[in-house]
Amino acid sequence: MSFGSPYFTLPEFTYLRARRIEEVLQLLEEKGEDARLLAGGVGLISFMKERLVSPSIVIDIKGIEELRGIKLEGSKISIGACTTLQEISENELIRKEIPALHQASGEAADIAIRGRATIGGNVCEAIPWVDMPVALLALDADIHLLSRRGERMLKVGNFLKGMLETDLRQNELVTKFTVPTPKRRSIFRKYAKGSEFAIASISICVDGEVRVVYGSVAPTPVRCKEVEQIIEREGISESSIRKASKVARESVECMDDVLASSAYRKHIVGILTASALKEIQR
Amino acid sequence: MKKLSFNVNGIRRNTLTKDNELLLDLLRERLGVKSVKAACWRGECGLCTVLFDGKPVKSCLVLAVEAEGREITTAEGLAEGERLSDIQDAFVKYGASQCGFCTPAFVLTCHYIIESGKAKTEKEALELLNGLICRCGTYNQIREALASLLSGK
Amino acid sequence: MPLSEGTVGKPIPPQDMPLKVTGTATYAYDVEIPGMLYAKLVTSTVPHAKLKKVDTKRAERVEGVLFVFTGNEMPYRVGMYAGDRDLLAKDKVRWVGHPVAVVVAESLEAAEKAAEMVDVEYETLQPVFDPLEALKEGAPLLHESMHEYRHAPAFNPVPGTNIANKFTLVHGDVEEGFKQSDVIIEDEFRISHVSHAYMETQNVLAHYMRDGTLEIWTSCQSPFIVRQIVSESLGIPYSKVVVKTPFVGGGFGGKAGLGWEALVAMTSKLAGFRPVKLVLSRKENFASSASREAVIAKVKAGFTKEGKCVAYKVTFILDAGAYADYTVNVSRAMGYSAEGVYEIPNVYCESIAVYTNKIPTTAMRGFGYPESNWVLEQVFERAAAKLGIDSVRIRRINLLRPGESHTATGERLREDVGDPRKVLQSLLQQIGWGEKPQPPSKPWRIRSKGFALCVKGPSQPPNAAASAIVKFNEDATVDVVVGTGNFGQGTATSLSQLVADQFGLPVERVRVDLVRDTSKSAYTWQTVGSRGLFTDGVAVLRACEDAKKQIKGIASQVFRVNEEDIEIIDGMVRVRGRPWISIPLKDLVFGYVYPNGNTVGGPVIGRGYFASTLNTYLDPQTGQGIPTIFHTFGGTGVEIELDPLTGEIEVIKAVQVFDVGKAINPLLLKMQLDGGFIMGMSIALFEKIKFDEQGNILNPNFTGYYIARSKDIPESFSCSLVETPQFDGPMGARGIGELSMISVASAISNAIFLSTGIKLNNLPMNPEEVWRQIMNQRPELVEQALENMLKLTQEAKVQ
Repeated sequence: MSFGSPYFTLPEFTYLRARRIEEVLQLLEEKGEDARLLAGGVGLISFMKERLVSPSIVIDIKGIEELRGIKLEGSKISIGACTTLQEISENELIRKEIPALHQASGEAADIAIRGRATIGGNVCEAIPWVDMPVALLALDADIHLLSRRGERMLKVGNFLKGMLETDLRQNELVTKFTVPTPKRRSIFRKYAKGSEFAIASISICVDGEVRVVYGSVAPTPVRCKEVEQIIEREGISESSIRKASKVARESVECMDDVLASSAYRKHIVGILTASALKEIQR
Repeated sequence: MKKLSFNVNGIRRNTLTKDNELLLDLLRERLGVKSVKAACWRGECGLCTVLFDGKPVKSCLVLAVEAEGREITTAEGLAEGERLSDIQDAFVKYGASQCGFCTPAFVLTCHYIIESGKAKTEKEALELLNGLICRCGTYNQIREALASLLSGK
Repeated sequence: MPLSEGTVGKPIPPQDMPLKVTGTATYAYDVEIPGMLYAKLVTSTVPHAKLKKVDTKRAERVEGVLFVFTGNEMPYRVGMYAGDRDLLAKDKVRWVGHPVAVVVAESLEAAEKAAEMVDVEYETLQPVFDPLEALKEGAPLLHESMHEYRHAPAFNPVPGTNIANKFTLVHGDVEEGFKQSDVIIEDEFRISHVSHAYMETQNVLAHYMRDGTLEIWTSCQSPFIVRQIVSESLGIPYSKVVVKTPFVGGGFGGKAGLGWEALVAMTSKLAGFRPVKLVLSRKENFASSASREAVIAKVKAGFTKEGKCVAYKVTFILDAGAYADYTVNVSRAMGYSAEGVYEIPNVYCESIAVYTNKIPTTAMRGFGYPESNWVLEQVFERAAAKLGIDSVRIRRINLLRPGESHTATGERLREDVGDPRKVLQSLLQQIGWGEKPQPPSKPWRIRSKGFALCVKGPSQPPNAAASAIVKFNEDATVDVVVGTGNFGQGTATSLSQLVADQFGLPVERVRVDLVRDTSKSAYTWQTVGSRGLFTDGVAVLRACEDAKKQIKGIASQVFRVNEEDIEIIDGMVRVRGRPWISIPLKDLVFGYVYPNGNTVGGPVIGRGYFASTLNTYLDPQTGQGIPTIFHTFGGTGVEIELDPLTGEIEVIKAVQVFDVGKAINPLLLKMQLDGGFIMGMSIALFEKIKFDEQGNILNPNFTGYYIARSKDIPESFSCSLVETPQFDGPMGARGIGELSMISVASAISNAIFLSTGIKLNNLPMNPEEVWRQIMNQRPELVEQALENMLKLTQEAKVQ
């Protein structure tokens, strides 16, 4: 994938501003592949500039109130797809109940991007180096999809298929994400020295089922069952952390790309595992 | 072409825009707001930062049509005539600009940092400037300018 | 404050700051002309090929497109030093990104659409990417017609090979020196391609007019050299080429020399004499403009057991890329700067610029010196360790001694060039040498100090001149006309201080024009090499002398005293010893008018110039001669932390010490020293242009090509100045702009070596590279650090 464009301008398209979900679903049903949804625009506008996508219709959905906001729904916390990363990072409920999400959103990109980028966009653009999907996977979050034919809910891990590839159907809209609670014992950390994107990231949740997820190491975030088992079995102690760090380094498959080699990523995965477990131990 | 109406530095601008026009291009090429610069055109350098309803956004990643009814502030808009705003004054005093190409974006973002109270410490303030690149390396002078206002608050 | 105290030495903010903070300073990027057309480049997608066919038909049919031009329509060769470049690729393409056509359209959108539709047919040739391979016999040849290139006399290209320039420096007998040596250090160093990453991308607006005048607005450092290149290559008289340069959004060497002006000028002419603007995107700027070369250096150095360096043999192989117009001179400077601040009796150095099928290369801040410094200062540190003597002693023993020593090129070092000993002393003091560093921020990190010294002068042709005009206005305000460019150095403000003090005027009453226009500005060769304040400063002071002489001439008639008895103080012209006999400047600078209307004298306009009478070409066999007009000595000290867990290096404290001769404006100086440190640190720790196996750049953007951001800067910056006045410098000053980044990388690497023994030979020292070196050289450090972290009871964070 080329990162950089000789183009200043965007390809031609028709811009439509949707006010209601029903409108969006109708348009998607009619236009299918030719339509793309615009929320924060960070992904879509970049992709259009790179000529990776050239939709004929762009539907702006960020004005739809139902797609925004964070609320408690029974034992779950729901986050509207068009909620910005800045809103998530500043939300009290998230800060208290889901530290991993607070951290992932607060450290993502920069203040200007966080103010525009949405959680839905961050997941749907499906590039390997972004932060939110990593935390969502560790938190066992669900993604809610809506079309005129009905509603679907699936795990974020099942939704992400590969680089620029998701399970999103042409007629579907992401409405929200839900995170089952409690998730207080969760963490997100990334290593990004000398890099705009994370070279590797980790998110761990030990409330209930132990989930350990690595980001920026493969086309989609990956769980490491071997590490999870060690923690399940032994809890978090100096010796289990030592073991987990080693096992992570050995068993997480890492990619080579322009940011780092596979070997270095593996090393960082080991270090992140140790330090994140160490922090969660407190 | 679509009709578009929004404020730039408090002045109503009524114009026409094409759906695929970027806010950056509308401001620079058609409305003559040349303080808005660009150096990467893909959201990395932050030089096209404008305040969008008071908050920083990178105008190379915003469609012009999205500005409908909004208030856009650029570096020209912070000064009143020849009287500079506090942050602009501090930039002058501490020499927080060399080639000056990134300066409008830094000034706007620093203005936001001070006004929003989002940073309590110098370190937090520096973190909030991470979306911007100054190749001349004036970060230390920008830090001094920011610190002078953070401590003054 | 009496004005006679002067403004020189005062920290006055740059005068153009109000324009910059309000965003109202105009850059070439902002300039538009009515009727302007938009140009877009079509560039090669292969690294080395014969151009079979460039089919423009489809592109020409795009709505809004006027013309598509190819190399056949522009048979011009351009350049300043090597003269190796065609305006557009003609018979061959030599790198991925090589422009093969230019589209001209009514809108950028149309131009971009059409650029995709130019069909180029290639017959691919074997490319060569590694400069060592390119040097071998039988390697693919990039420039078959090298013998036709009109290169400048200072260079030695080798036609029939890929050698764009071979520079040799010899003095003493290096093999004899090795025989006398007790310790030999041998190693190989590598430096990556670096992007200048000036924020304002290259852009040109050219208007070829029907009277034969060519008007060019361009984001460049040196409008007069642009004029020279355009005039010489297109065959237009100099006076018909008017180059205008407003504010410039950074240059760092990347906008000196050859740019896009000649191409856009010809495009304008062929497009029916319409004004045409070309702006490069960041990707295009990476892929099609020039960057800093990569280097492979092989070194062998011999020291006596006392620590005296008696032999130094080094080869620099510069990966110059497809075109090396300016890099030929970088190779020369890298060669003659090989010995740095030291006097070494026996030296053999070869510095070879080699063509490869990669991006073209050019000058960059430091101009070969950071590269030679990276080798030399590390060799000295390692020799000290091997000999068991300390870092300071080995440097003191070998340091150049003003008034006694001869430099690498055999120039006798004058007494007034600066004081390297004092610089070293002050540097040690500032960094607290010998005192233990603070405890690290995390217990597993390794905190340490290091330093490196440097020296540099401007590398310019012997006859490179500067000139200035000082014009009085009716109210005794002054307009100063110079040619030196404005891309952040603040030279204009310093120059206004020099002028203000000559007449005892408040600095606000002196205006240095900021927009350069070759038809109106005073000539200066280039704005490069840290020369602006020195050369243009001398010219300005001479122009002030000229103006003063005219004022005194008028005053002597009015006062009826000799000219020598007249002084100009606090904006008043008065008789020496009789201060009550005085007239304000404003009553003299347009001639003195007697009560009856009689007038003596007229408007005062002073002129002055700088020209070097000392410089010579260097001997082609030995590299001996006098290449620069001054030497600035200095050094960098750092306190750093190495995190063995990740390989990351964090700079905590930055110290810069330079003998600037005289600090004309300490604020501007501090801005250069801090800014140069940050740029040097960014290049040292992060920056590398990466290529794939087909010669494509993998990171033509600021995500993959990371540049230091605000969060990366040291906690503290300190700088200290030594002021040994240079007798022929303006008020004793010498240049500083580039100096501030030359020894940064070496200082950081030395700090790592001193605390861990780890040798870092490759730039950048990014976390992955450092981690690899730790794993190769001292893997136990990683394990120890991890154990250390695991055992911690309190908070442990990786970052």
